[in-house]
Amino acid sequence: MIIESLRTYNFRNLSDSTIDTSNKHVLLVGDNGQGKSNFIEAIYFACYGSSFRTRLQKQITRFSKNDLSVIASIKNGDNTYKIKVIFKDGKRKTYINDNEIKDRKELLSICTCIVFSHEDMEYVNGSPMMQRKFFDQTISLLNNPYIDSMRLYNAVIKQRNALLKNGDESLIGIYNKKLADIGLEIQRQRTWITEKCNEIFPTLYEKISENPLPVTIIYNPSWKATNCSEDIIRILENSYNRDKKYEMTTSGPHRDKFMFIQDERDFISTASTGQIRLTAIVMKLVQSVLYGNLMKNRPILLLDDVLLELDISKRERFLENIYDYDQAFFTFLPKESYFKEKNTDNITFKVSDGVLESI
Amino acid sequence: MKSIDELIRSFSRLPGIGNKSASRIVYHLIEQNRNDNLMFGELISTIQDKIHLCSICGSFTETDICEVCNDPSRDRSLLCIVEQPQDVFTIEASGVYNGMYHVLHGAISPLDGIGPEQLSFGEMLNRINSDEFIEIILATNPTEEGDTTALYVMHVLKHKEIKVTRLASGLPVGGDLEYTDKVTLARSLRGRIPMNS
Ligand SMILES: [Zn+2]
Repeated sequence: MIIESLRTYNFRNLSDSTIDTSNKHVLLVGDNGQGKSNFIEAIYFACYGSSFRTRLQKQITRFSKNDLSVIASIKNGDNTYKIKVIFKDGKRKTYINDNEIKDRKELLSICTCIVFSHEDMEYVNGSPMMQRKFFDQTISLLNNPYIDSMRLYNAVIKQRNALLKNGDESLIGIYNKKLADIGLEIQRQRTWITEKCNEIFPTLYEKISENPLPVTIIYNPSWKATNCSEDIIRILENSYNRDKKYEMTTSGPHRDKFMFIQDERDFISTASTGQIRLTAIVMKLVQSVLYGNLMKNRPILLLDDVLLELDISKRERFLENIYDYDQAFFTFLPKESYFKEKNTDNITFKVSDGVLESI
Repeated sequence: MKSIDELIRSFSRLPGIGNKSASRIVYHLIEQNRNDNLMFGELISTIQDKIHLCSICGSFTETDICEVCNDPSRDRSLLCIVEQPQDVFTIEASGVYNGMYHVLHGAISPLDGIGPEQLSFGEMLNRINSDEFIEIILATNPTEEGDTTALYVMHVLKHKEIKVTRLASGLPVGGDLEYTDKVTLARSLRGRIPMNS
């Protein structure tokens, strides 16, 4: 898949214009604060209808403006799609080929972009919630209906918590059963994605870091030793008094943890900033490789400043290992472009004060 | 103008009507025949006097007992459980069901303070105990709340010798029965799945 063009209106500091981006490599060069990352964010926004940097519409709308829109022309196989995401009067509307869609989930079947950004470190050394977010996102990319499972799980948790607070206690059995069924499904998916990541991550990390001690991922579910929903129902029944006391469900996939292990020890707690950064970057690479392998389609990569964070030899080894993509967007500081030769695969834009100029 | 604005605001509070449609309707009303407006106003202001709930099934009716409950040709061995009176009309429109109905008037949702006592499960049980139903069909919405409500009916009927079935999947998840097209609804009614044995 390829983003052929992108049109933005009132999006952060970007000037309102249509940018032709149909090359394999799109290089955005400019000083900090000029709009390189905003352009990357606008592409992500067109692919998913949301931002990876903020949840607030106000932040992505140009100062003192209220409405914004992003229109992308996306080629996927033999089809070309026009995606339009607008914010108007505080409401978001999303269109595919001028037909409004109800659920942004529909965008997933059209375009998949994987963003590499500084914030990815949060997925590695941040809260368990951030880690779950990364793995859940990865599962959703490979298995779209997982989004429905997550939504259902969250809805059941909310209902069960409301019940614990002040509901009809005779209903607890029903919510335990529902939570067990949907929670077990989430647990299975997370076990599966951990296995899949472990097929790729340790080798890739070793290759790029040149650290021979393998790093592996361990999934540590809140419900342990469970094979069927009856096991989980028993756990929920045993923790009912505690749940009732705290007026919330104290166990379940919303309490799951992931760990990175090296030499049988927690890797992240002793890792250097550089190692954490590289772990995050390689995890994103794993995401894109899995997508390529399992979905028989190749993603669009958005690399926002991450290459800056790697030293020259790691950067080269990283670039050697990202082969599975149709298109990639890179941001660079001036005089730092790593694509020396000019060829038809590449197009370079100079970004200054929100204006992109092809050079 | 105050009277125009007030009327637009009233219309835009109705389901499915945005600000734009509301103002179009109001400007149309100002222009149209006065008698049509009088009749329209009359219909709106008397609808709640004319329509009430059927004393048997809880659906909407203009008489004490609704048309379905009154119809001797209906199959009195089937009972279809729905959330809202609108669902009765949706299923009737599909044309494939000839049994009886029971309207719960909502779905279980502790978040909204709705438990079994707020819904008409008592009436449902009384009917099942005194009438001769052979099959109970759960036609609650394919939402989290609708699912819980269906499981609750199963729970209440656990010790009864009665067949319980549920609409076949294929209904859009998270949607309302009301918005399901006739063909899909007919298919899921015909292909209903047994919930107990
Ligand atoms: Zn009736």
